Amino acid sequence: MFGTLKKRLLLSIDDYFGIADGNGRIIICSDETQEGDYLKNIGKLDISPNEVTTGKDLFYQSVAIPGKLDYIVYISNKSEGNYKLLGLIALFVESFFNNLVAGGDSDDFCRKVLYGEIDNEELRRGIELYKIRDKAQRAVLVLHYNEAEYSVSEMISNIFPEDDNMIIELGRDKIAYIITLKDDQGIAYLNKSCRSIVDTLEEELMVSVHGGIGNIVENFGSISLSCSNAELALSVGDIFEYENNVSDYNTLGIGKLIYTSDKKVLEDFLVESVSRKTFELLDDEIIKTVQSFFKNNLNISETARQMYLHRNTLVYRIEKVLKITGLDLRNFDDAVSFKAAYMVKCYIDKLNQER
Amino acid sequence: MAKVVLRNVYKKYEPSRGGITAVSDFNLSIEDREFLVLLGPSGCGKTTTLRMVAGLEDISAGEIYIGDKLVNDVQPKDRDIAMVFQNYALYPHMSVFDNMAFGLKLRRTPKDEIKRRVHEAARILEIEHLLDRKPKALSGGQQQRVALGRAIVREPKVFLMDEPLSNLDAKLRGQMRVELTKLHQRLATTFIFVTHDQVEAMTMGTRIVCMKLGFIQQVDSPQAMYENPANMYVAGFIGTPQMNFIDGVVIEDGKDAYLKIGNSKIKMPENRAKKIIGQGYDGKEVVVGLRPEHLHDEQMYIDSMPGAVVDANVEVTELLGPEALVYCTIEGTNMIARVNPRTKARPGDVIKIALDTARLHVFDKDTENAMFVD
Repeated sequence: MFGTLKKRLLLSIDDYFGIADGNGRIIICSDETQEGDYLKNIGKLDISPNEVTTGKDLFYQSVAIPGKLDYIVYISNKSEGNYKLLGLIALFVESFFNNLVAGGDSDDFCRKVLYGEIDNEELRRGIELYKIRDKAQRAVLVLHYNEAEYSVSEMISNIFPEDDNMIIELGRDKIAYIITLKDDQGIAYLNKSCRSIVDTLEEELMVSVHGGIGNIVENFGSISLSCSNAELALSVGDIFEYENNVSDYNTLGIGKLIYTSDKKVLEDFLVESVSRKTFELLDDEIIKTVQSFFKNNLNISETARQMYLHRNTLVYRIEKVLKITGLDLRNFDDAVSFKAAYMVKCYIDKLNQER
Repeated sequence: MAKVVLRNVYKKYEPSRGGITAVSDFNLSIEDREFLVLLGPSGCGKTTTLRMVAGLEDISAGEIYIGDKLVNDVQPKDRDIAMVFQNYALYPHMSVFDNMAFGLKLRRTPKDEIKRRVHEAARILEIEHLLDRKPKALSGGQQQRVALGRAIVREPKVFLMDEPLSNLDAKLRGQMRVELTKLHQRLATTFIFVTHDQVEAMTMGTRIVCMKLGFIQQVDSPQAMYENPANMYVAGFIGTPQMNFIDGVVIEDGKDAYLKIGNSKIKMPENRAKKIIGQGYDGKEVVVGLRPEHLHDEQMYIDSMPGAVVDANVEVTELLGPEALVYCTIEGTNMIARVNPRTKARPGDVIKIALDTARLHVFDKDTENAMFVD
């Protein structure tokens, strides 16, 4: 937002100029090193929106914006022509911000923050304008659903009516729910909330819903990171946790590593560990058994109990994997190699499918 | 009210999702007004099956009918179903009435109709006196009933429930089992209920579908499944404590059949011997299954079953009030006997145990299938 404004002004003005907020903090300046500093001695000046005020080295004018935000525009007073030019700059800035306020409501602002399409100054102004608490623990849940006939945001706001949270639509089939956490709330609360939302939406709206949980961040500007991580959780979960309709970035583990790795490296790894053809020799029963064995921390007794298998049947299947792959899953290193190779194989299959 | 039919239904995930077949060749006809329970451990395909009926999950092959209508390509909202899931949330700022009415309001149902349906559902659930209250003022059981009410007001042909009692404590879960059974009787509608809890399945279902790794293992009434499990998996899954299993060998001797268990030779009753003799089982290694209540330590049984008495080393006894559990080893295998609470068995004792040969189960050691059914 401010970046665009600055670029446009720099194209037209050769002299020293700038824009400050109502407190005199410099937002935009032709001398970039001054951005973030405060204008000196403006407290002694009576700067109004209607006329140009002349200071020691600068001409000043204020710009009143609906929403009670004021800006101060200023330009060097060494040239008389700058007096008139400042009036034009003030008009331009007023028009720019009026458009922003009229067309850019808080949802638009939050959407830009979620997508990281905003610079620090725009962020600061938006937080001020929309009275958002900057320092607070937040996390973003991204919910992806088949096109719903009724308002998903309305549903969520009814599930959590009193909370200081935000619901931002990201498209026809995607919504972000920005949760501000209380002191006693953490990952477990996010998980419970996400599961509640997913189940309730599916029950009430009868659409298939997948939820991605992002990481917890400390200030409002970082919600873009939480949002992208929630989206990453959805993508990774779609491959590696396909039977689960909630995926949590905080527990993605190896999946995250694989998803963000170079494809060539992954393909090489697959060739060197367990080849694709080898996997084809393992039937569903074996794969499901192995998955259960991993879920139970390589504990044969617990896996056998949970799968209602005889211990010997389970051992037979593990030995079958050893015979086919050369990996003994009772051995931690071999188990890690198998799990990683299997996940890499799934991911490469996904990439090939998309291609 | 409707019949639900699944014909050769498969769910196979794409290779990028492991290529696993989550549900294989699922064939089932669920009768109108039936309370059908899909039972099995995590990953057996029960939830996937329910979600395919709901339309929340695509099917890879096969046909699903609700009523007479093929619903493969019908949107979930048009399938005339209602769902209740595990992690339901009530709307905290709304009254019970509004909670139940919310879905209908979304669908622009006329006000008078909403009022009628909510009051009718509240009457069935016996929560009419709570309609003005907010969820916070309700007990856990009442909140669960409101969640059910949201489904009831839709007046669906089929109710689909995925572990709706899992988040409740044990006491409340017991109460809600009874409530759900009553609700099913009052609504006289088809229920499909998913659970991993065999007690829920046994107490509520009119029929149980026991699943494993995406395959149906057995479809039967709770009683039939308990008494005649189709294989060792079902036998072990149904019943608490679970069925005892011990290795044995079939021995044929003229018109008689025996099971050799360790050093003990157990004579089979005549009717069962007939099912074994001449079937090629002589000398075959088998697994013998015995429910804990079919191991007896009382003298009366020991005297009346002289051909089926074995020694047992008692390790632990648990008095449960109406019964006692004796944890023991028989021919080196750990077993549990459910006996009279006045049993004299104490840890360290070697006692006589009579095996009820009329009730024992014999499973093929290779296929794990029951070798005969009564």
